[in-house]
This record gives sequence, structure tokens and C-alpha cells, in this order.
Amino acid sequence: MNTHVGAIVIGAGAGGGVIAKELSCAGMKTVLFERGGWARYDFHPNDELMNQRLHIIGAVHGPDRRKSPYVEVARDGSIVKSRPDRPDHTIIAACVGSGTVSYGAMAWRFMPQDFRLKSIYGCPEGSTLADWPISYDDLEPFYEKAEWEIGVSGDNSKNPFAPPRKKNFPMPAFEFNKEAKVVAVAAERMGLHPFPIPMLRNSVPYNGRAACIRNRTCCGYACPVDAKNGTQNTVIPKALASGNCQLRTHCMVAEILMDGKRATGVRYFDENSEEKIQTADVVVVAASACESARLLLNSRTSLFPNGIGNNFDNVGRNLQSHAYTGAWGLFDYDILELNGPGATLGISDFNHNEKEGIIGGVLCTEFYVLPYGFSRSRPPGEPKWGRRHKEFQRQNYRRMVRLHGPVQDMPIASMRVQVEDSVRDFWGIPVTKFSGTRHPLDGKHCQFLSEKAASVLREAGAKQVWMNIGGRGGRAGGQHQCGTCRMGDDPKTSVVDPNCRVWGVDNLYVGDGGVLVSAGGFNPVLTIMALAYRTGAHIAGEFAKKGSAV
Amino acid sequence: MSESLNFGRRDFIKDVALGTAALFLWGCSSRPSPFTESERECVIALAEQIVPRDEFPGATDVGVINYIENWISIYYPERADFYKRAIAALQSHCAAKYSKPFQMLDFDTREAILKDMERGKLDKSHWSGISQTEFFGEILDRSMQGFYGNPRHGGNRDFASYAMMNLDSPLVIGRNQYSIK
Repeated sequence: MNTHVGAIVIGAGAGGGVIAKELSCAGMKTVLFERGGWARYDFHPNDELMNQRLHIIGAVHGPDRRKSPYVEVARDGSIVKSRPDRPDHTIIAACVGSGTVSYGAMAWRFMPQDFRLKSIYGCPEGSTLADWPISYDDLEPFYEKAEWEIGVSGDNSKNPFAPPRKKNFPMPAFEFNKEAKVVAVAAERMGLHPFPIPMLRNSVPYNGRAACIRNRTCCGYACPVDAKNGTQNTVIPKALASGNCQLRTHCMVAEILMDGKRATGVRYFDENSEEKIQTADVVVVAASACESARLLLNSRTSLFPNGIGNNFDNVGRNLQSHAYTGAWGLFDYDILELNGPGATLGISDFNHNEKEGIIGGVLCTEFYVLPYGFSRSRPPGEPKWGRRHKEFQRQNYRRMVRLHGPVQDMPIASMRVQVEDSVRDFWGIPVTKFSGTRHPLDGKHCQFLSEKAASVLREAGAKQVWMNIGGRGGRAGGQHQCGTCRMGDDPKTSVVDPNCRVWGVDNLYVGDGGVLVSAGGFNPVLTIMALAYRTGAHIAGEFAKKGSAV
Repeated sequence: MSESLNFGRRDFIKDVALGTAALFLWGCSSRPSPFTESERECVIALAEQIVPRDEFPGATDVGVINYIENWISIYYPERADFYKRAIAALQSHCAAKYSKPFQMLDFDTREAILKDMERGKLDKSHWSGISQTEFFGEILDRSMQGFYGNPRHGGNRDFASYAMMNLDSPLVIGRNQYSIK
């Protein structure tokens, strides 16, 4: 029997790692559950087919392909079984630090407008676009805390669209690489405002770890010199050093246990697949947007017959993940230097383009594409295989520049995560079931941003420019998954309250991307971390007031 | 909350130690091939059309077939049947039209067949219940992965495609001392 603790945090990723640190450093005895183990660099030596970004034949940081099936609802309504080593899996790494071990590490703050989308743009028919119950100003201090405790390199002096900040970045920005220098000159000529992308990566030594060595295999991989900042090398070690946090790896939480309107703990399977119970005063679910929704839906009681917090049928809905879109440019000289990881330049001029009524997104130069990925990228009219394809591969690998970005996708109720009782995972837990098709506006917004990207590449002197337009059909998912447990003022239309506490439950919180009301036109991780700091501070504050967290 | 709990560094150290049990997936396994000898020759010939030898090595030279066999045996055994039925369909087409198996045809004929297969234009009578465009997509994906992917999965022998693209390999960096052959 496990000893009763102050708090349980489920999931040691971007959100869970931060909350575990905030609670344990505030004096709460905390158990942090993680279904994977510690990631190591030598599991994936520069392997383009097996990493968290492409996962052609599996993702080294999990989840385990033999243990974690899921299902999709096909167009005809039938159920199709799939598994996490498929290239199209809705994947979130299952390891300590989760995606923050292997991410590209872009460190965006959302813009103030991102918190008021409905007020600015209205609610398009068929969407559930909404304002957040909190503002940018509410989150600003926590953005700052995330930037300093996890570590961000950046410089916003060239970006007039950057949200206001009280304190500068802790580290100087990364330099533009060769293609960014070319693109920057062209963009400025067009009256745009190119600037260095803020990164959760060390431009100089920070927090006792090295500066970035410009590794080419960065996005999708763990850093061989530990210069990339995630929760696994910042807040989680701090939580463990506090003496108040116990990390339990290779443990799969199956159910949240309830007593009426209070969560009492969790039922989980330990590293030997033995079923165990852990009780606590407070439970925080931070298992990723899809897995957290699954856990809530799999925890059914007489008060919550359809899953905890789901009495208004909101859990698992509004799944978002960005519609990526952009353009390629082919130059007639070697424009890539290949000193990694690639993405250095951002353009935020097309975010919240209120004149055109389009929410938009940030445009960025791309992380370097490796040989296999490049073999699948060709201008229209170029053969996809054969002799000419092979020639193109060696002639143009250093000559193609991609400018693309994440478009805020329209949240819709039918894009959702459910659970499928008839299909069980390794532990016998009902698996996630995905369904939904993108809102038609996503394709329109992608077209808008792709055209902007193409115009910049043309101005930069590309001899051939072509667009790859995202957002047309398909469903949301992937690393940027969010929205399934959205935050709100009204329990009828949201899952958690403005403090990220599940409506109708006294002591259950959600601490991952699930709480995002909208995905923003940016990579979401810094916002997930900032929200986790805010939620952690709230729980720790309650604990300090009452000597117990509730 | 006054219980003495064994929280702290010990589990951290234990987990790191367990992590050193490394994962080995190096190519050229001794697994039995999912193919018969003649099916294998056919797949080799298909991959060679996707990435043909020129002044640089082609799919056959770098062992793309090993990658495809590993891909099926290790990751997608449930796909073996599809490959076998599709190869049979292709061979039935070639027998009817050329009285020879695919792998015995000349380069240009094979290329013409693949171009038709890509667009679903091969005589449908040989492809009942099997999608020729799906099979083409499979061969295209597997051949590119086997030619340009990491050699530890069986193809791209000695990083031949990286050498063709003037790329250093493997990168000698940081802490990846275990990955250098």
C-alpha cells in the first residue's frame, strides 16, 4: 500500500513537470507518474526513420508500439485499429520530459489577441471559437517564469507584433543562418519585420549546461550535449532535489478514483504491470490533450456516468493541433549551410491580420529536412522517383528553402477524442478513439498564409516557388494537440474553470495542452508551461492557506 | 503529512542506470525473408527502378531489399500478404504481356510498367482485389526509406546516399559515442 501524499501529477511532460516542481518546492509531498522512462541520446543516433518528428518506423521516446493501440473512426463510421509507430500517429512522447526532450523548442508567447478570438473575429458557423477566461496579462508573469526557469534565447526588438513583456529573455537570440539572412533582406524590403525565433535552447551556457552546438538532428531528437531545455533537465530535477517529489516511471494510470465530488487518488499499473492504488489530497492530470481526455472519460462514477467532468459532454471535444502551411523556394545556388537545426527566422506580420479578418499564424524558416524527407519534397512537375529524381536529390539538397507556419485551426465540437470500450491496450484500459474533419475555414486560412510565404520567397530570389497548402480535410492531432479539456467561465461549455480545476470536482486539475481554448498561431509549448506555472501556483497557494490543498 | 517517505534522488539514479540497457536494431538481420527467392528478385528490381544506379550506387547496391525485409518482418508482418499478392499480380501481368517475370525485363520496359502502375493504368484483370497504386506507393516509400534512411535498418549501406549528397555521416558529436560503428 502506498503512503497517502499531498498531490499526484499524472504525466511528466511540459505541464506535469512544471506543476510537480511548483508543488514539491512549495512543500507538498508529490508523486509524479510517467508511463515511459528517461530518454537517452544513444537510443537514436541520427536516425531519420526513427525519431519523434517523422516516426516512419516508430518513435524512440515512446509510447511503446506493442502496448498502446488506438482507433480511428473511418468515414463510413467503421472503427480502424492503429498503433503508435505509424507515421500518422497522434503522437506525444512517452518519457520523462515527454516532447520537451525532442522538440524543435520554439518558445512563443501567444499574442493578447489569441485570448480574445471570439470577441475579435466572431464565432464562425460550425466552430466553437471562444474567448479565454483569462487574458494575456494574467499569464504574462508565468510566461516570464517559464522563460527564466526553463531557459529561452530570444530578442524581440525587431518584432513589433511581439506581446508586451516586463523582463527581457535570459539568453541572447540565435543568429540567422544563411537562408534566413537572404529571406530577412527580402522581407524587410517588403515592409515586413523578420526576427530571430525565440528558442528553449541555450545560445550561451545556462543553468549549468552547455550552449547549442548547431546539431542538424535536433528537432525530433534528444540533444547530445543537453543544450535543449525541457522539463527533464530543468524543473523535474529541481522537484526531485526538493526531497518532496517521487517520480514513478513506467507507470500507467488507468483511472481517477472518486468519492462523491472529490478525487481520492488513482488506480495505476506499476513498472511490473501490477495494479496499485495511490491516494492524494489533489490530483493533477497532465498526460497530454488526448491521454488526459482518455483518462477522464475512462473514470466513470455514479455522479459522472460518462467520465469525470463530462456531464455536459465537453471532455475530448475541440481537439486542435494547428494546420501547417507554407511554401518552398528553389534557389540556383547553395543557400543552406546545414549548421543545425535550421529554423532561425520568424515573421509575425500575418498573425491577426485584422484588415483581412484572418487569424493567421507565424511564418518561420524550417528545421533542416534530412535526406529521406527531402526525397519526398519536389516542385510540381518534378518526377517523384527514378534517375531524374536521384539527380535532383544531389543537385538541390542545399538549394531549397521552406517558409511555413502553424495556422490557428478552427475548434469544432466534432473533432474529438472518445474512448472505445471494445479495444483495450496492454493494461486492459479502453483506448482513445479519434474522429472529426477539419473546418473548411482552415484551408482558406492556410491558403492566405501560404501565399504570403510564397511572396517572400519570390522576393528573396527563388527561381521557382510553390505552395504546400495545409488544413484541407483530415483531423487534428500530433505534437501540438490541445483543446480537449478547454478552460472557461461556464461549466456547460467548458471542462475546467479559470484555475484549470475540473468543473464539479473539488480537487482535480488539468495541467496540459488540453486546457487551451484555442491553439494560437504559434507552437504551444511555452503557453502550456506558463499555464502549468499558474495552476501550480494556485494549488500551492491553496495548500499554504489551509495546510492542505483543498 | 508527517510520514517518512523515501522520496528523492535514489529513484532518479536507478532509472538512469536502467536506461543504459541499450537498444540494438542493427541491420542485416538473420531473420527469414518474408519473400520467396523469386519474389525477392522482383522487389529488388522494383526498388532499383525507384532509385536506379547511375554514377552513384543504386537501390540494389546499398541493400534496400534488406530494409524492406526488415520493415515487414520487424514492424509490419501483417503487410507481408499484401506484398505477396501484389507481386503475384504484377508477375501475372508480365507473364501475359512479355512471357517473362518483371525482374527479367529490360530497364525501359520496367520503367514503363512502373509509370503505368503509379497511375493505376496496368491491365486491371490481373489486379482483382489488389490496388496497384497502393502497391506502387508502398514500393516508393520503402525504397526511398531504404536508400536514404539510417543503415542500421538494413539499407543505405555505408551511408552511400549521404556520400552522394556530400553529407558527413555519422556525425561525430557530443555524447553519441555508442553509435559510431
